[in-house]
Amino acid sequence: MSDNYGDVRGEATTLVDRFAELETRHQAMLAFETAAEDGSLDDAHAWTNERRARELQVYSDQWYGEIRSWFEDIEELFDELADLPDPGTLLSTAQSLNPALSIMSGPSGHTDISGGTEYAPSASFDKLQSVPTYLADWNGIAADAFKSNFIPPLERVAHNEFEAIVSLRSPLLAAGEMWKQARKDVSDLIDETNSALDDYEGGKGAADAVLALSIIGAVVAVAAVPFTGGTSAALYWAIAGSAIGVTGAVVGYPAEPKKELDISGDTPADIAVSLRQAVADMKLQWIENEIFIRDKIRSLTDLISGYTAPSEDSPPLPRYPNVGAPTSGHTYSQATVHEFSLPRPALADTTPGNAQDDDHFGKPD
Amino acid sequence: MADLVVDLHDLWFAEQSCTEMAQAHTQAASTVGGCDAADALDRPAGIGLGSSGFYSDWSYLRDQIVGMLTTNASSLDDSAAAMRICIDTFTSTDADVAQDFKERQAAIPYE
Repeated sequence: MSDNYGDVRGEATTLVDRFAELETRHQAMLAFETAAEDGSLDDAHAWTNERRARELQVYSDQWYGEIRSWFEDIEELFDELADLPDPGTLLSTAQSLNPALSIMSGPSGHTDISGGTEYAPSASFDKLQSVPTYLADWNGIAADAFKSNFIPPLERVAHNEFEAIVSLRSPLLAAGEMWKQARKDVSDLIDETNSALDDYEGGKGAADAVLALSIIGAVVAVAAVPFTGGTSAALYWAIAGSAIGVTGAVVGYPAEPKKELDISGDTPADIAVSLRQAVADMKLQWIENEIFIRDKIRSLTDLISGYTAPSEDSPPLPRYPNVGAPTSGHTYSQATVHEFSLPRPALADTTPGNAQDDDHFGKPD
Repeated sequence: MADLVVDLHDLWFAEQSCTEMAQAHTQAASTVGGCDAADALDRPAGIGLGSSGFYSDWSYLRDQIVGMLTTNASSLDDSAAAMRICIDTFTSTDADVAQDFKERQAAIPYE
């Protein structure tokens, strides 16, 4: 297949010209046959090539403009398809989040399972595990709480922060792949339509070309958000597909995409009808894929807000609590919220006047 | 007094570590907050979920992540500030402690 996405509008105009030209010829032959039947013309099948060309030209001069108007909506269809999101821009936007992953890789480093990239331990966290030891002799209530309740979960929270950033990046990677494949499908659709018109022009009975669509649904499932949560304190981070094992986590797939589009018909006008249907099918698939990604994003939003769905099939909560009502048995857990945002430690509210109080740092043992 | 200086020095290490972790969170929040996919997702209104695709949901999640990074940064930063307050409280009232603490910082710097 050619890569003609860069000139979709030009290709579409050429396609419409071809539809109009072939349909004009088809209509002319119908008109000549009708005229022969009512005796106003002699039998067109007996014409010489020169006569046929001359009669066709006369017919075309009169009717081509109107017949071309039957296909002009195709130019409008492709005008819209010529401005699909740019995969390169989506990829570079996604990659602009990578520095945040390097910073938040925690004291032990982290593997970005969506891309297999290993992130080295972050120097900013290398003394995290020693902080309780540094504070060992400070036994004021706030100091004790800080070393017992705030610092120990911080490594796990940093892990979740890393994964949350990965999960923010994943929809952009998924969309990049999706639109890359979509652009190819648009290019292929033009090629296959031309192929069907070739069949028609070449005198084959019914023109028929099958466009094998890129299976973008599966791509979206693999690249989409690697994130799902349980109702227990444990959070499961998962990615669908690839070679990554997912422990007990379920990540849904979008609806199975239509894998083939049939561009066929007995006349150019019929072929145009199947082309229009193919465009509609493709556009529906894109909507389904984007809904899938959007719902994954909403599930993440729910989880960070402390809401978990009873099952993967349950719809996400409305993002805004004042819009709609949660009806599907979601449960709220503040502990889940604290897997992402630790509660503010009392130590943080120390003042010069209370630092040595037993409620805060106290005096070291 | 020697024990107090050791404890203050340890507290200083904790303060430095919390400050570094707070800065990491702040920096990550800035990177995430600076990422915007509006242009990348822009397309004609008849394509996918409309002219901005899933941007509204994505940007909401982004802001949520920035919020949690900022919250954790504040907790760490304010805790580090509390540790500085504590060190200042002990060193400002005893010149010998202050001097010994300063010497220990020089001898065992935070790295």
